[in-house]
Amino acid sequence: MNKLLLIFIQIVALFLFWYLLSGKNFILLISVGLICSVLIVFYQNKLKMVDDESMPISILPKAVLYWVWLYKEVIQSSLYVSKLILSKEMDITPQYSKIKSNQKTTMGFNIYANSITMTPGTISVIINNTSKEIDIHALTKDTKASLENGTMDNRIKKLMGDTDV
Amino acid sequence: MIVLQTYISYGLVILGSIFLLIGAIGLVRMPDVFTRMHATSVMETTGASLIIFGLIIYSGLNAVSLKLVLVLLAILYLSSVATHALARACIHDNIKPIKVSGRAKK
Repeated sequence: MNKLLLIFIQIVALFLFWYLLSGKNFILLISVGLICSVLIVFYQNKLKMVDDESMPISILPKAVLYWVWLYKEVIQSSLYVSKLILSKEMDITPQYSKIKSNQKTTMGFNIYANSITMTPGTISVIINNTSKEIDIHALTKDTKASLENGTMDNRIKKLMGDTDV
Repeated sequence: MIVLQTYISYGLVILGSIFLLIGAIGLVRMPDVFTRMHATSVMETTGASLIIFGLIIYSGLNAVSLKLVLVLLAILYLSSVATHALARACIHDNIKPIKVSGRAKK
């Protein structure tokens, strides 16, 4: 993707964000928003704040499908953890172990670690980007097993496709 | 139609509040810091999102519901980062996760 198009997309995205949050149609507010977004993008490029870990837009449609799947998983494990909390015995078996992910990209690995933390019952504690290993803490053996069967890992790998960020 | 919309939103908000309550109960009942984090992640994902879905349905499609979607995205992203940072800080502070097997000790 060439650089000018990227700058244009950044300006449009920032301005849309401003416009949606303000929601008013005064000339003054709109022009201030436009000037601000142009200035922000200008200085941001000058300072090189945006590195190559930013969001690739090409995976966005697939990402929405992934979010729906992830939300379903979150609800399921929420119900599981809630049942555990409300049960009288509270039969927990905390696990602390290392799992290996087969993500190729930094961003896929990042999405994986965040998804693990977001799902109730598992937390990613220490992540290692060079060896692609995550130390996880799991509430029970079942939640750990649900990570080890690699469904989430494979889904993210499919989501990332051949993007190399 | 409007009545149905209102009742659905009430239902979702109440359901979300129940999840918040369950998370709070779990926060008290769980034995150590890591297991308590699991209880709070029920609150911040399912509880918060159900309440916000209820509010979105209540307000209909307008600027307010769009802002609510942004709030939901911020909560989901930031809470997982915060949980990760907290867990990492605990490990750095040499807090060992407990290993109970079978029933939890009081």
